[in-house]
Amino acid sequence: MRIVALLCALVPLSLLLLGFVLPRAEAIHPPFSPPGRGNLLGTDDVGQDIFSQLASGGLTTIGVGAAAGVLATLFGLLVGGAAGYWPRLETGLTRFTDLILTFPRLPLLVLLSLYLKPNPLNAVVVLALFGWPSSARTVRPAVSGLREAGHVQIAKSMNASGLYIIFRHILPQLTPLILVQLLLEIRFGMVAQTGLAFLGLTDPSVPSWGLMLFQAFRHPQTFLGPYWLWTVLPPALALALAVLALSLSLLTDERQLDPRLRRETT
Amino acid sequence: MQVEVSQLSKRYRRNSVLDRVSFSLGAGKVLALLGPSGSGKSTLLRCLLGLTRADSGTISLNGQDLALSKRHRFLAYLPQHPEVCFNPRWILEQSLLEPFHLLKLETTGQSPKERLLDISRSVGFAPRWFSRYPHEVSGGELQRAALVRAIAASPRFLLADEPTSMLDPILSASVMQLLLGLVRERGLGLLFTTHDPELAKLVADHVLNLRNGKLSG
Amino acid sequence: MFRFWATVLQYLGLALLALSLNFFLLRLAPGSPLSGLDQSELDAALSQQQEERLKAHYGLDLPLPVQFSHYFLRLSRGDLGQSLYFNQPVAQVVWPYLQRTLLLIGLGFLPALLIGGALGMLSALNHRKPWERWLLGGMVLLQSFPPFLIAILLLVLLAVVFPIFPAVSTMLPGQGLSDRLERMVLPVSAYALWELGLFYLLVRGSFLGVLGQEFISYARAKGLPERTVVLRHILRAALPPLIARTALILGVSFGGVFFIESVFSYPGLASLALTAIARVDYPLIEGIFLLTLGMILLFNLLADLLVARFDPRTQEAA
Repeated sequence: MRIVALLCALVPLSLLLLGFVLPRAEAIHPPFSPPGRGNLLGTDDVGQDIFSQLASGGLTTIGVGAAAGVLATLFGLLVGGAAGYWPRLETGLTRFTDLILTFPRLPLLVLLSLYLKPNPLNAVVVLALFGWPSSARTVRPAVSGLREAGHVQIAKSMNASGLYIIFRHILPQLTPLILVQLLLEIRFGMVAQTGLAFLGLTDPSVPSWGLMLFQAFRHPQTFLGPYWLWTVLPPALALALAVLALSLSLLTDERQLDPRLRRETT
Repeated sequence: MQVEVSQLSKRYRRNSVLDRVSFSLGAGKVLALLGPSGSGKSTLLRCLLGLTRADSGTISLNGQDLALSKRHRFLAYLPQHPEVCFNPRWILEQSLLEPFHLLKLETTGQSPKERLLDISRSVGFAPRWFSRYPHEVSGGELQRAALVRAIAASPRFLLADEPTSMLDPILSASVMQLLLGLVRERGLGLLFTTHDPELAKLVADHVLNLRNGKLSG
Repeated sequence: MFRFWATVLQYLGLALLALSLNFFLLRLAPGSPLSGLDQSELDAALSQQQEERLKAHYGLDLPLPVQFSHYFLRLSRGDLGQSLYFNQPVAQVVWPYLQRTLLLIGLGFLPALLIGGALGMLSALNHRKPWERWLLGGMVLLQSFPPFLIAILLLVLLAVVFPIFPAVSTMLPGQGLSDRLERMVLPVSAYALWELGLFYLLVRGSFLGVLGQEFISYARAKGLPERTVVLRHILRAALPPLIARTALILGVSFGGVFFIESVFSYPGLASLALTAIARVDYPLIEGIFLLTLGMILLFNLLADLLVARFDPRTQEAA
């Protein structure tokens, strides 16, 4: 299973690396030219090279997703850790987390991206803002389960601070759980970023896989000729492989299979 | 040097767990806290260590109130189950050095590691276990490691929770022997909990009977 | 009873939070709210005096708290304002689109629930058999796929590579019923596929939870036939939380259906929202946002109340 996941990850990851190296695609080629010499994957409706778009788009999509995922996980760790460790904060923070979790994230994402400048930085912040509650919710019971552990009590009896205990004694024991959560958050970030771009709600000058799909779907000719083969399929498959890679590596974790431990994500 | 506990009370919701408990423990003395499980023994230890906040009552050292922040210098805790009392992700050495970091102990003329080796020698804990993880070490060795950690900070009083509850009677006897040795050699005051009246009578200078949160006899 | 009102109150608070977020975002956003009205040169031609009169007309010169209370009163009368692009009341514009979205959800939801639920039950009863593990893995992957990706792949496969169904689901006046139904096949299947994985996991999980409980072993030990055990005991115990979770999923699906609609240009709320966004029709955007939010919150509330009603354990677990 892990090998398949790695194979799937190979394509998006190499695109990500190429995104750092390859120059930004420019509209200098004949439009809608099929894959072949010159343009490895052909060109889109305005004559931009698909492959370079795919690479720089990967940089945006994976970059935004990963940054938002890391940020959301960190924030979730802080909130969940505090709620799990300090009984006095538990009720309040849990209520707050549940409140944000019940808040429908998609319409809000759409609304926020309408009012904020649609740049990648804002996207990261907004996605992280909606991603953290699920992490906090996973981390809190795990932390409160270790709150009474022997080595925690010993450290406490030696005047250790709460932060010291959380970061030195509790969180390191939760590494597998946190890793799973990180992958989930990254997946959410990537999918949400692509979704917003697909609706045309991101900056049209910042290439991303979602934007490529948006532009392909907007063009009336896309499905009338063979053009979808190289304008729609590559970004869709790139995202599919990225999601598959993440999901397959999560699949090995039995806990993830129990839907009662998870909240539905869109 | 003497620790005095007076009128210590603790309730959980409606239930009184500790009811005006008073006693004192002097240096070089052994005090046994005798009582069935659920009698409030553990809560009493937790209150003394500051792990649980008592509702009322005072704990003082030589007549002066012993604030929570200072208590850790004088009181050390020997937990009941040594196998869950070490961070499973740390090698033992890291756990044993923790008191030096946390209590910011100054070791005159010795590195913390050297001091640790001295203490280990005195309780018969072999230094070759230092680089092992807790799960790689036997229960008896872990018990000794816990003891090393407890006295690393040179406390004046040791609070041991059921130190002889191990299945193996030989192990239990050797732990008790070690503890009594520490009392004799270092002048430590020892308070230990047990539910074995014979043992309490055998080794303690004084026995406290705790029943339903109240001291009797 | 106390819990009931606490839940309702919590959701009212959430709704209020959403309303104020919506209100203040709009007013604190860079640029005047009026700038959406006129993007053309007219904007430059508008004199200072005119602009102020216009602001006064819309009450935009009042202090923010006063504006907020006006806004709130207006909403409580069910008045969502006037769409600038369609030049009709927002509620009137939205209604037919909302109907079509609800139709899409309704048509996709039923098969997803039935097939997903049946597979989930089968899976739970055959726990740990090799084929069951494969089915489980497949379903986990399926539900991890974003809805628009499922829709795109479905469109490519069944409308382009094998052109069985129309790729575009626009509805025109004058189309016959069968034509309309044919155009709904792909969006409905995409939606159903996306939900299928969720329902499968949900039913499988809650069945496994019930199967592990003692009274099931007891019922089996009594020698009851397996069918009776499944139907009478397991189903009865698993059903209430399932109903609650289903309500929750229905709420969430408003988000996912948004993308599916826009893949197929299905004339539901999503395409209306995109039109509104393209035309900078703020009252319409706001109206759709509030409506979607309201729907989701309503389903969430329903789920919470159902859980509380059927499952007293959740009160302690919370």
